[in-house]
Amino acid sequence: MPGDPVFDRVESLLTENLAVAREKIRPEADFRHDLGLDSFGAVELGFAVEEEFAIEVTDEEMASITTVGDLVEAVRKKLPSD
Amino acid sequence: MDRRRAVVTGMGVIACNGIGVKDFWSANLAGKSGVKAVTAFDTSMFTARTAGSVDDFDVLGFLDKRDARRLDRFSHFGVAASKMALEDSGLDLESEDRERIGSIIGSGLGGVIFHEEQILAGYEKGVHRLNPLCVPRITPNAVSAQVGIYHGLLGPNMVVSTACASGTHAIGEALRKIQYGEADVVFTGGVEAPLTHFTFGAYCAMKVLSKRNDPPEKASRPFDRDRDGFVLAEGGAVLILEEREHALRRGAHIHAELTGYGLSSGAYNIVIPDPTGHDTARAMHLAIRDAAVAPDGVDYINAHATATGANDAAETKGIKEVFGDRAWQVPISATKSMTGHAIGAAGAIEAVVCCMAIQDQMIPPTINLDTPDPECDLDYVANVARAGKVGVVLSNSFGFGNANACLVFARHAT
Repeated sequence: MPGDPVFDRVESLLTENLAVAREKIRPEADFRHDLGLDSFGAVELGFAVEEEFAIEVTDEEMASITTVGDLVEAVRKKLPSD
Repeated sequence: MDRRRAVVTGMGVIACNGIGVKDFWSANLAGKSGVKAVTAFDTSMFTARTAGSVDDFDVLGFLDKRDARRLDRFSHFGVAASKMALEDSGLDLESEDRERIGSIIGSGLGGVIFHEEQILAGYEKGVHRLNPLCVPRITPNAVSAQVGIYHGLLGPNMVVSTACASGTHAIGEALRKIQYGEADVVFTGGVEAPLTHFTFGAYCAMKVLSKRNDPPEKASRPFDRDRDGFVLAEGGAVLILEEREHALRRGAHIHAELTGYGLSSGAYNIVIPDPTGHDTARAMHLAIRDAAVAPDGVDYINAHATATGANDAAETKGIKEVFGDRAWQVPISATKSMTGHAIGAAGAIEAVVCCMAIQDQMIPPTINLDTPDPECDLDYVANVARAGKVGVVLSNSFGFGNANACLVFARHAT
């Protein structure tokens, strides 16, 4: 998935806004266990994703997203297809 | 049992006329103003157009990018000044009991920069789209919390908010925490970052800001007959206030001892000071008494002196009430003539001035004092710094709402 435009933008959000080390960011990485995001970090990430992609992610959707890959997929489904 | 004593072992300062104690102090002695024309936002609709902005402060020299994003500018000043102060103190936190170390910081306004940004964003995108960092960045106690988080301090953690006296009240409260045995070390001081379009406009609306816009460095003229208001400024200062025995045991360099604190209220008006100055006299008197010195023992006064017509006249009356004939002998300076008025940071920035005056035996000037005012006829150390015996110093801060606080610093003899 690296090289994918959505993945790359999510990767930038995680490194820029949440100070996650780039080498840890893989599709299978779990936000809580592998990337060390706490509950407020997840809130910040949700907001950053909404701003970056101009989409809305509900609390329920956010709760079901546990890995970077989940997030990339969820974002991709919400983006207008071109 | 003798009262526990508190000494200043570290200082960090960010002001419009100098960042770091060395640059800041030499600017003060040189009579260098940091007031400039406002460029950060449009002031064409205002009568006041100058401010004491700190243009060369780089937060990334003190915080990483993520933390810089999560803190508003007033907290940036707090964390940055606390790092400078800690380094100056030589205190090794790794070997200290952090439960005995606190952070007590003053801020009049809190995170008004982000507050304003988010209100505008709320109108544009809807208030259901606000940034989750709103509360953590805006809340006034973010600054003491972030200083505590940054250094891992587990003792008292609080913000004092008394407008223009916040920094002085915070330092006084820190003194009490040490005297009462509730902490051995306190990171204390004050911060403010009020230079937003809205906040600048709000001060302008009260008609308390100087309209003397050109040249900007001439705008702030405390005690001068032609003074016409203060210059809004930003910045911060943090002191490491330490229980005396604790400092002596580790062989710390002691800048000065904080020996007295006095508070009073005028109960007069939310903006205007009591013209008799009697309420300010009571705060000065209480601080001097707390320090166990007589008025004759005070060698220098760092005045609140904002350069409003009302404050400087009332403060002068207050000084005369406390000091009697000695009022005409004791040198007084208004360093806001150079720093502008950094609201909740002002008293802390001026505490640095007081400690340096004691350390260097030098008294900074009141600049822009060109035309004497019959109502302000004391020795304000006009325009040029002066060498002199500086053993005991009184520092005055009087906040909106007649919230008065005074501190007494003394040369520490080992």
